[in-house]
Amino acid sequence: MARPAYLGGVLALAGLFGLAAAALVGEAAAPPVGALPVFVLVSLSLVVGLSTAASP
Amino acid sequence: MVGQIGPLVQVGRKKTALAVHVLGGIAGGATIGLLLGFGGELLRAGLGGTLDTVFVVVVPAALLYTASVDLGLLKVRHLTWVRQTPGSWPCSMGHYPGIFGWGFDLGLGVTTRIPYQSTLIVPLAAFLCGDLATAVAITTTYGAARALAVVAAVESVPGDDYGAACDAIQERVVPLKRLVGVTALVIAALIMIS
Repeated sequence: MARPAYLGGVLALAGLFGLAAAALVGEAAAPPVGALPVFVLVSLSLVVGLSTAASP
Repeated sequence: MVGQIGPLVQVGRKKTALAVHVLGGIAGGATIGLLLGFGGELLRAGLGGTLDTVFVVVVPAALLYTASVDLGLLKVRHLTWVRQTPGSWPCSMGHYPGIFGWGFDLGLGVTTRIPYQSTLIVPLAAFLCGDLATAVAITTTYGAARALAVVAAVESVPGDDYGAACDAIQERVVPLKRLVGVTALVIAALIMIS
């Protein structure tokens, strides 16, 4: 029996971490490849990371 | 990975073990990001602005390829290896250092088995972006997310039921593989239009 509230909290924390990382790099460092690619790649890292650890 | 869940749910203080595991994941992600970012900076010093063109062409193309493989549209041999984090680490290093090492190993992303081909885009993009801060952000997010997913898997089952934790992980594999594939396709499109 899963605990959805706890699970949701952990996933939300991961999402906030990813968004914060993307925002920091996008705003502060002005990445050469552009802010949007960095944002989407951080999002990809988030999705792949969350999914990879949940695989056997 | 499943074989490593046991020490997290059955030995010592679970919350401490999970926190140590997450720290290991963040450290592993940051470490590989520093290495790839430094390599990317060197590449940018050599190629200059051409690297941005390389990035915009290679990363979306690689995403299309890996998404096709993950979605089952392209039947090719998966690029992966069999290594897993040694289950003996908590014994040989000590309980918490071993759990930290497990998180670190997973956070590196390229030293253990690769279940989704789209995972390979993380180090590729971190390298080709040619920027240290961007590389660290991409890979640290991966390391943290991977560790937090372990926390979610362990916490999604009540008590110390090791078998239930493994079952909870197993039943998510197929839908997550599709999610990763679709996400990779969307991100390839976003990079190409940006």
